[in-house]
Amino acid sequence: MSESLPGTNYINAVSGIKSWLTTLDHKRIGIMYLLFIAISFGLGGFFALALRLELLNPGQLIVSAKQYNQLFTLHGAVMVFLFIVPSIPASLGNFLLPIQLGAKDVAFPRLNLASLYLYVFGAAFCVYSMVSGAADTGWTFYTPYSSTTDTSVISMTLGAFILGFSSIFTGINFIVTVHKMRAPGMSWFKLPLFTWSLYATAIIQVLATPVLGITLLLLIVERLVGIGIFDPALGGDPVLFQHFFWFYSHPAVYIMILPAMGVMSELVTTFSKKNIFGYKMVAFSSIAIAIISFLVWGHHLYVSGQSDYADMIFSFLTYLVAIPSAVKVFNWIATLYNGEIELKAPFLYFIAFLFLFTIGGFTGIMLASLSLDVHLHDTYFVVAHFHYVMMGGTVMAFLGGIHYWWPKMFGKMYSEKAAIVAWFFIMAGFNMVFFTQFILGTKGMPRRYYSYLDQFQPLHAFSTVGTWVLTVGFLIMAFYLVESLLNGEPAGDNPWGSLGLEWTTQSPPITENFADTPHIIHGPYDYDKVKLS
Amino acid sequence: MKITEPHKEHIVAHHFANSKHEFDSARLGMWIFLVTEVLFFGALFVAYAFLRWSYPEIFVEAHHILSWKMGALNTAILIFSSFTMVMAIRSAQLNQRLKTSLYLITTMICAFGFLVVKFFEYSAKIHHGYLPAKYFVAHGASEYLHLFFGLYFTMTGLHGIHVLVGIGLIIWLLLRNRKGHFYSNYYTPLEMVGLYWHFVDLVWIFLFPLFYLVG
Amino acid sequence: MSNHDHSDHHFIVPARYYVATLLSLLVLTIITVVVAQYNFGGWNLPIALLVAVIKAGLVINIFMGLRWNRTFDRIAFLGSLVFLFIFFLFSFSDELLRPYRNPIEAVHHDIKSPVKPLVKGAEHHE
Repeated sequence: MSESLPGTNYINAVSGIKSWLTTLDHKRIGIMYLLFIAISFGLGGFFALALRLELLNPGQLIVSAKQYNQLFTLHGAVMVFLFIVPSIPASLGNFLLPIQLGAKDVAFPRLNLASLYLYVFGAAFCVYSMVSGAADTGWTFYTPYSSTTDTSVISMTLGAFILGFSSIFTGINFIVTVHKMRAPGMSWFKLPLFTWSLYATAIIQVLATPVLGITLLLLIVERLVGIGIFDPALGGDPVLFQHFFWFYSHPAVYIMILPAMGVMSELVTTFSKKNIFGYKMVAFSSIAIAIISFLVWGHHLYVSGQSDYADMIFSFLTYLVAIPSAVKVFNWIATLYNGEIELKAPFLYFIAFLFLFTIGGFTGIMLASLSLDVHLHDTYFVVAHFHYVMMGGTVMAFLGGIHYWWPKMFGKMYSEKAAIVAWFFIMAGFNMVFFTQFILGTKGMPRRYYSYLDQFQPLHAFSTVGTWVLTVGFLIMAFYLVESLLNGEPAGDNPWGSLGLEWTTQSPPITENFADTPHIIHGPYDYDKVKLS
Repeated sequence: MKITEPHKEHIVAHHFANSKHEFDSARLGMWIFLVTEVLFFGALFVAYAFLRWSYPEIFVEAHHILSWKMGALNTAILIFSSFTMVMAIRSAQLNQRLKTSLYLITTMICAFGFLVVKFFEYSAKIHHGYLPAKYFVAHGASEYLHLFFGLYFTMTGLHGIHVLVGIGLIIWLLLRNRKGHFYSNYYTPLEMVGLYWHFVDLVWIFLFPLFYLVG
Repeated sequence: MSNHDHSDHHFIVPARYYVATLLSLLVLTIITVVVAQYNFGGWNLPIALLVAVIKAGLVINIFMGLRWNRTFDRIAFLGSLVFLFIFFLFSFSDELLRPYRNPIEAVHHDIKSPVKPLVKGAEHHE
């Protein structure tokens, strides 16, 4: 295999649909994940457009109140379970982790393929739920409503349960790969920061996801035979369900954001041609975030009847998350200082992340404080906050990562001009949609409401128009990326002049990634020591 | 079984340096999988703690309903099956193929024995109407006895499913051992299923006293 | 990249370890069953759990061979217990400290809901 002909790569090494469906190559699995994730994003985005259209004015416009409840449930469930949790780790992570380590593949290639199949299988259950009386519980499936509503809750929870296992398999694979598959000379402190963040993510996936699994299983059993522990009518406690649910779902927020932070570290070093400021602090802050993420879930329960004592402890612990997050933001900014900055498309997404994530993070600190949260809980302020983190953070980093590694994945370049235009639309649209919602929230607009007071109408309308601007941006992006696949200029092995190990192999890489096992001598960001010839 | 036939030489997967590298990676992966299992079952024990603290009287009443003799018998069966499992692996390490199969078959018989005992227990409970909350029809002294049986059936049922999966895995091991896949330098699947099987034993070690003994 | 290395890298545990473990586990099972026939009041649960933990330790260290494994395997497994404990500690202590969930207090004070009824006219206070 290693004596492959020139021009052979992982895409054309073997051909046919069957060779893709049975492939054990982490790069092909990553690409297939990317495809499914893009489809899920389109689906979730479609629900979001419908939601916002309905909210254009008070009262009914296109859907009934019940359909509206189903729409926001599907938007949440699809975006969380099918899109954002697997987004960066399963697509970019799968493609890049072994290459960044100098390995031929992940530790368990068959488990990797199984994870993809479980993803598709779980997605099928979610789609089944959509067409058979979609769940209307909200993506959080709170009891006792979720155990009594007549909509299709079981298929949706079963789908999420299976998707959880897909996520666990990816996590197991990544941890073992990082431990066991590093190339000679690749010590822990020469690991790229993207790899560090994937490792921290995998820790959360492995420790938190099983609790989601058991929670959803208990909910299914509750609906089927009524075990009663979450049902107050039978003597159970619905708040216990919220503890179970958020023990996974809060750390899951960091499953979403940590890989994005890893992408940021890669972008900032490549496009400022500087060594990362404080490598070890950035690496350890990923692990710190992973661990602290398990100590803060109670801040979702401030107004659920949780004890005052727990409220205070969780509020205090929640503030701690700000420390490692700020370490990262400060270190990226310090990296930029005196750098040779190139404003290429991936770097634009770095800037977008930096601003939007900071806004999302600061509003998070506001929500962590008990007295303020009592007023802002379940308002649009919360909706805006987590969209600034999830979309302004993770999605921007995901887009940045796609633009950055696109030439490596497909060996083709996209139109830089079109990319900049799309970026402007996305930035403008995003802020139109969600900054408005901060204002709506502080004025008292509750989330998940079908209708609203007339005084909120102008802001709601502005937010809805924002979704259209955002859509235009994404359509432009879809167009130029497909165009690049068809007629893109050949990218070359290292179009950005990066020192990362993944840029030393050919674009697209060969099936076994490197012709010879690489021996690592310098770190991934040693721009001050190494000059590229 | 033709035990004189030579074993099949194991080929190390292309991305590993050697068989030790492969074995260590597989074992680490399995331990991490067991970590997820600990949290999977562990969350149920948290639910148990919640119920026990809320309604201690239902545990007192229920432990008279459950038969500790059946529970103790099942504990002994599972402990013994764990022992035969390690002996199966040890035999493979010593290239004793026939012994490996015999130990595996013993383990499987124990697993079936466990399920048979469980079947008798379940049918007795169901017969007397001790069902999960919604279908609970028995008349207990305590108001919330239905909650106990909701949790009892969920936890032992989930454990039972794990036993069933274990049986499937042991059958797979037996078929592979028949073809001579396992020998002193390659017994990774045996070791991994072994770890899984001990974990199933481990869960029962906690389930038995918490449900059957402590009232 | 030798596929034929027969280097003896696997440590074979002597059978007597396994037999001794089996016997200890069976004896401990008998102990826990016998002890359960007597009522020690509040000590019933701690005693049963202590025996179970000893049994679990034997299974993990000998049968699962963790004591002969690499350090990281041990860290991973212990880590799972730590995070399970975090889950237990926070959610259970919350349940513990919610006054209206406490059955004893609820009986004593006839509290059914955490929401105190409004005093008539209080809502007009400005």
